[in-house]
Amino acid sequence: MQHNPDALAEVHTRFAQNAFSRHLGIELVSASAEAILLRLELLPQHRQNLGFAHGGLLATLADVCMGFAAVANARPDSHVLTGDLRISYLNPATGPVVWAKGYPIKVGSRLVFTEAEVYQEAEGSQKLLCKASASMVVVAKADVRR
Amino acid sequence: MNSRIVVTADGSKTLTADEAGTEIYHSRHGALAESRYVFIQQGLQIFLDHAGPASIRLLEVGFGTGLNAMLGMQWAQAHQIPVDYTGLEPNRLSIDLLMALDYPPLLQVPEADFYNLHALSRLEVPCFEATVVTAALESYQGQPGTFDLVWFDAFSPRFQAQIWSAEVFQQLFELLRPGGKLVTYSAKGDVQRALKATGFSLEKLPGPPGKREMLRATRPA
Ligand SMILES: C[S@@+](CC[C@H](N)C(=O)[O-])C[C@H]1O[C@@H](n2cnc3c(N)ncnc32)[C@H](O)[C@@H]1O
Repeated sequence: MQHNPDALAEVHTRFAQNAFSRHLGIELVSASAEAILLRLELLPQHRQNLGFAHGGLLATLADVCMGFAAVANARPDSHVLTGDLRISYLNPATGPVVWAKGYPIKVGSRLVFTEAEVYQEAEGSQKLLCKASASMVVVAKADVRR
Repeated sequence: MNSRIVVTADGSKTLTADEAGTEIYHSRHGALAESRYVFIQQGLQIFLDHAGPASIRLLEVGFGTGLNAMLGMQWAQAHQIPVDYTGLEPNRLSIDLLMALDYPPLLQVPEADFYNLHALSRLEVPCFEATVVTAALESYQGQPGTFDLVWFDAFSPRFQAQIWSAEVFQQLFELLRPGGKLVTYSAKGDVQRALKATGFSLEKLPGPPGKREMLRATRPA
């Protein structure tokens, strides 16, 4: 895979500026063209009535992970927006920490197909909580309408 | 079992493997020093000294923290010798423990190489292709006769006696090519006897800091 140091620098800069991820407490563990790894400590406000992490939170984690996996592979003069997002919930997330990996499946100039998995640790093995896929749309910075 | 961080004599960190903290992932006398000495200096380095294969197929029993694997990557890149690494590990570590070990800045390896190898179980960088198999050695089905070097870095014979047996060494003997080598940090009498019983020829080498001896075994050519 092509390594673009500018794209990785973009990931770090844009992650630091991402107010929603910061608000939730999502941390960037590592970034490369191959994968983005994120970590999140589950707090009471992340949980639904049964005490599990809210599904929307895990979808966000997967989305952020896949979005940055696309940024890591996209031209630096572009933005990345989620085109579609699919997620299957396999196990309830109890925490205390969940982590996600997002990676590209196919990189095109307009679309980056990505996948992500979210895990938590359970007695020496990693329990798969959800599996997601997304098509990330690459848009030239000049074409983003606000 | 909840592993805890231990700081070893050379300042490098490692993990406890039992509740009491008596068994740990590397030497208390220096995690980094031990790994560099046993697995690099007395392991990979011998392929430089005696004209070895153009690329090295390496099997590690106990991928663990990935410390040895990262040292192997650095060695391969420094010497421009391609290393094809397979690490076996039934007990994968949590992201929080990996982060607490602080290895990328200590070893000066790219953070993403370290985390990708753990999270994707696969790394392809110049001179180093690595795969981590989430399995115990006993259930690993590798290509017989293909490995140039085995890093035998299981827990100690005191803690994990069954893996230091002639039966397990026989499996490794068959995975190695004739002339292939196995290095390990233990030089216990029982370990020497089990290796010899399997048909390995043995060299006793001076040990890493804090240990008198270590072993290098060769599958006769
Ligand atoms: C002494 S630690 C060394 C770890 C590693 N080489 C490192 O640099 O961190 C031993 C490792 O062997 C693993 N292990 C235990 N039983 C095993 C088996 N049957 N097959 C393969 N690995 C095993 C342990 O989980 C542990 O990670």
